[in-house]
Amino acid sequence: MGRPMTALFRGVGITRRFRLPRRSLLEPVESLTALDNVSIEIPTGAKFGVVGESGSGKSTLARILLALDQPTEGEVYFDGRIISGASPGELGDLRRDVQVVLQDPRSSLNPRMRVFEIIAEPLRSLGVAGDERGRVLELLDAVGLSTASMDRYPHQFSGGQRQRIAIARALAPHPRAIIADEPVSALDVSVRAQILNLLQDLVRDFGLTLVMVSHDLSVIRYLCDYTAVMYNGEIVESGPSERVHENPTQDYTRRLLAAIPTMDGSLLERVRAVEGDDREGEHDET
Amino acid sequence: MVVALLEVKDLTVRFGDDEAVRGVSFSLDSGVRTGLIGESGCGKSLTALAILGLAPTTATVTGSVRFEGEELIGRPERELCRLRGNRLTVVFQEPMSALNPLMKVGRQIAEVLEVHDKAGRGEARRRAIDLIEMVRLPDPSRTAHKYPHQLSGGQRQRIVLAMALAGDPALLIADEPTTALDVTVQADILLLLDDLVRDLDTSLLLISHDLSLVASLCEELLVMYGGTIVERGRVSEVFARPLHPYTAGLHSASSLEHSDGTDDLRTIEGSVPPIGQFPGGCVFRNRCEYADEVCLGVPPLRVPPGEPHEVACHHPVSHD
Amino acid sequence: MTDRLLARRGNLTRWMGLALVGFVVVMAAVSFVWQPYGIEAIDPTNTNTGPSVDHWLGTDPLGRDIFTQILVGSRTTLFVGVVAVGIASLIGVPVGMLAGSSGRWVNETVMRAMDIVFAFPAVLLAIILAAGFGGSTLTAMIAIGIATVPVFARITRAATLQVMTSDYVLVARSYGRRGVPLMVRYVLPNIASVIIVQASVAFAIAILAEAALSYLGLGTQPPTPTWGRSLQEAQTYLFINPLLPVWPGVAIALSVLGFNLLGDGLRDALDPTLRER
Repeated sequence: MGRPMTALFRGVGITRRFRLPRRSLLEPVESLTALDNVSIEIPTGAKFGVVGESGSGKSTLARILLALDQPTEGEVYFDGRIISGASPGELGDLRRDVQVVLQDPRSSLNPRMRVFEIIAEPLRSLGVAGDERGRVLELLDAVGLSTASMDRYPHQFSGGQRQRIAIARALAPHPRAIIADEPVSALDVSVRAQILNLLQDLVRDFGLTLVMVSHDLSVIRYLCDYTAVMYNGEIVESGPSERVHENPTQDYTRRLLAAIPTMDGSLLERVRAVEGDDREGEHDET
Repeated sequence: MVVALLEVKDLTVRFGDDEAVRGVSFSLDSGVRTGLIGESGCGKSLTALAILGLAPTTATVTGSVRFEGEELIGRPERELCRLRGNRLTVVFQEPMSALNPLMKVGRQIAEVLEVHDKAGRGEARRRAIDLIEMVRLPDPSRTAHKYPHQLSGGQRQRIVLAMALAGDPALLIADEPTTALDVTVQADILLLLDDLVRDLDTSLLLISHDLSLVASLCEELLVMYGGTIVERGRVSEVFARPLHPYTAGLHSASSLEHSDGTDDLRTIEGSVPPIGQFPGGCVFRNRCEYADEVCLGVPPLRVPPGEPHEVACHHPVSHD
Repeated sequence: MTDRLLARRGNLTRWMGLALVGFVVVMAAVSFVWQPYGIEAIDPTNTNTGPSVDHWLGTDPLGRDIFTQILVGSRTTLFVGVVAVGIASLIGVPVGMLAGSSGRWVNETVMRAMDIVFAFPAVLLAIILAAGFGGSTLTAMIAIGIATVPVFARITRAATLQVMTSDYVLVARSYGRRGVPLMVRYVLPNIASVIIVQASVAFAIAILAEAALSYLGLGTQPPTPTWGRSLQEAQTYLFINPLLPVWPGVAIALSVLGFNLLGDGLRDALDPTLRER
């Protein structure tokens, strides 16, 4: 809308509260605030990283951007159209334009479907016309799997291969954006690098917008050009990745950066420097 | 002659006809921190379990494990129990499953002391509170009266650590002790581990898939793949000049911080095969870019000319 | 190695189950074309006899041929089992899936309705139905079927709730799968094994329930023989002819076992993770 830079996703004052189960009839209903007045703008074509620890609200944010969860307060726009509180009919092309890749490919693939059906499912569900078989073969090739994979079941593949299947499925309906929630956290080191490379190539080749949610700042830094740091349901710092990593303005970001183990073995020195001697066990409450 | 703290020789773990650990040999000296790295399915956790006499009952364990000069393989379970949790202790990944959910944490620590006849009931309770203080949990006497579910993941792992250190062990085996934790909590636990191991003069065997963790905490390094040790040396040397193509691949795949994301990360093709499906000869040859017919023969673990550490490879990576 | 062993044991289970169930089906089929004696034929000179050449399994106190009773009784048993389980699962499974995939209010309302149905035992339902329509095999089947609906609804709901929180359903929702297609393509295949096992158990219970209802005169009416009634009738003569209850008892036990084994075998056969590696 009239802005020079178009935001593919825009969130204004998103708050999400979950009702907790009552402990007893007499106690008042308690709620947990997973997201607290979060505003976010994800530019078209960006590689946008959201980093945070468990309980920071990053996965809730991902679900709200996918319109799989609704904010308690605030609005979410996709491509200028409001998607928060929208009925399935009002979501427009969101269901086709935004696809998701989750952390654990063991649980994100339907165990009762063969790979061919898994990848063709989004096409069928969305009613995408065209040569289904040709598209599946094309996708298998794009993610580096053999044609023969098509007739097998997910459990017959390794973790990395399964994540490739999940990525192929996400690409199937020609989406404009992919939301990836911890896509490499469940993978081994060598496979993690393979999948990061693959994501990198695919995002470039297909001109996708990537929203990457992770607990691992080094993965975000490697892949993303924007970084938003979340803590306790809020975005505490955001900006171009290089700026956030080189010149963090917030204490939490500094702590998070210091806490990442690096190959030069400087972790303990950095943590001691940032935290001083006064840090004790009570801080590790999450 | 100085006897090594732990001496493992030809340790083999079989499931039926499949060898999950194939003739692993290494030794650990007192006060040294050693990292054991490898990807899932390489046999690193099974090696630890076999050392502790905790391998699954379906497995056949052969070879020799000498701890403080005594042979552990073939020892009756009763004698192993006396050793475990005392001189030889272990911390696993998941703190919740290592703790009894129905017992207060102070009691659980005290029990370790009582079982090993380190203290009577009253004394054990006092020492448990000291141990809780040692792992830097706030308000030790109140924490002692909490149940595991009332503590956070990091705090639980501190309790597990307190239990492991209660018997003043000579060797602590830590198998992915921080993998289930958040990064900042992990950093705190590693800091604590670093201090405690130094203060108590305990040897550490840290098992991890994360090279940077080992780089942060350990001095010596063992790299495992396909149930064998493929490279061994000082952490700084191995990471500066990885000789085995597997180590080199893992190293560059882990070095996210040195890449700006414009080039592909260098990594290893394919993935770890299931147990029993590793190739004969060199276990890595089906994923190795240097593999040729020489690799059909099993490479011995030896120091190549002009290099400072051992590698089991016919074509060590050249760094010139 | 253990996988292969497990697979072989799974096969054995399946084949034994199939053999036992097949045997009952063959018995029922044979009874339509051939019976040694009429079901009402009595032999007044031979009452309460043991097995003989004329009467393979002996005769009952009225002089009826037991083998004929068992043979013809298998029809009722099969019929009642299939129809009752069919009613229960055709209503219970969709209801459970609806409850498990809907919001809190639908879920609660549906499940409380199921609780109310569950509060009525099959016998009470059968009495109500018999009062209206008269006691018959049909009323027994409907009563047993309806009384079993909540059992299916509950386990289906529990299994559905679990599948609905799975990652693959989340992803499916992200590309617009919802409603009936989501249920049919994602939920049903993944809860099928639970339902099949439940069906085999329910089948066994239905056979026993039919026996009880027939005994009370609320089910199949004499002279149509059923295993259940044969067993109940034999009870009176337990001390005169101890062999009498053995035959229907064995028949019930073997067919119940057969359906249980078949259920286990089918569950394994439908699971691709056990089938192909």
